Amino acid sequence: MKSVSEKEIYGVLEKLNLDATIDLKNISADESLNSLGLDSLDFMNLYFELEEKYGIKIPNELIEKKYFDSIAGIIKELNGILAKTDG
Amino acid sequence: MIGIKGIGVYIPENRTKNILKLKKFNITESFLKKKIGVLELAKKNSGLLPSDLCKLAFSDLFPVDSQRASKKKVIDAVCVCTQNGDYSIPHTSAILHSKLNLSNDCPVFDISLGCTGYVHSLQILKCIMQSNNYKNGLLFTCDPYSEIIDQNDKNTDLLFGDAATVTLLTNDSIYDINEAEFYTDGTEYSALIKKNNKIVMDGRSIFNFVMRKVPPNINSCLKKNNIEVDDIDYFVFHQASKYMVQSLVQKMELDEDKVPFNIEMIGNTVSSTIPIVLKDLITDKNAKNLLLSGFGVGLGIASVFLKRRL
Repeated sequence: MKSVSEKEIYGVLEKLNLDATIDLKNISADESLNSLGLDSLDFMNLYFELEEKYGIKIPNELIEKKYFDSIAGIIKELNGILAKTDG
Repeated sequence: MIGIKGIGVYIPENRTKNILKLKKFNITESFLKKKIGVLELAKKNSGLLPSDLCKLAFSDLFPVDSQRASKKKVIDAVCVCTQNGDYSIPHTSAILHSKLNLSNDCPVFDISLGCTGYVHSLQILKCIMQSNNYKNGLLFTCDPYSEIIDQNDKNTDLLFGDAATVTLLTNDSIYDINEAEFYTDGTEYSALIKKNNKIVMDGRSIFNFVMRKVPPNINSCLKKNNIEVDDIDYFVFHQASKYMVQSLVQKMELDEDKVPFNIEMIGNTVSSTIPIVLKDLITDKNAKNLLLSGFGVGLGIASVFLKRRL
């Protein structure tokens, strides 16, 4: 079963063309992306890029619970979705 | 071939300022400027109907009284693209027919489409004109959302403005209207819907749809017309928001100088956004090959290639 790596998530964040003030190189896995400066449209793009990369659909319920607000949270939720997809 | 000869635009003078809504919606000025890209919204006078806005656009296209009077006699067909007309019945084009005092021989009809409406309507009107040997047709767009916006909805209250446009189609045109490419996914219809007389928009669904489906639709349109991406002088995208247009530029790796964005002081005017951009390009002789692409309500996409005649 595929497991998502931190390196992959950093790669997705780099693709998002975020505001230059957001320093991706120095964020830790548990830091809140929202408090670092990602706005609602950045998150919308993040969900899109994750769906495209992993061939999944991220349910609105998970987004509403803000589980994707850190790299660690993203990895946990993606691994959960992928596990269900793999059956 | 029937093509585009001229465009008239009416944008109301009244404005609401989005900068006054920062606290209400808990957003920053930077987010407003860099992501939404709309600082002011044009708002029609509440006493004006969409047919009145269309008539004002007609006066912009034919500003001289005598010219207007003579043109009215030779208009062969009229299409009004709107989903918020004067009334649900009759069609707004009938009311406009009266206000413009057009010939009894002139067929008029409404097209119920939003953001894709201009491209769809160009094709439909062109076909009716060619089938019936008509020489002069008018395509109006007018979808004033101001009366159906929920002022407490951050998704929509910062975005939509009012305007009307009219495009003159003739066989003596500046731009030929070539082949179009369409895409529809009706399963996503609820992503932009009017309920209880208010617009409700699921931004995420629309963003995903646009990012996944618009680039292949545009590429198909270019291939159909035997033209390469690099040969396009301008991509005239529906001006949904700055973020949406920039995201498409990035996804398709386009030269952003070729992708106009001009709604900072008026807002997203639905089916009017494309002709408002096009009006500026008509006078630019370097704007030879244009790719228009409307996308949104339905959900749908309509792209078309315009070529300037030599």
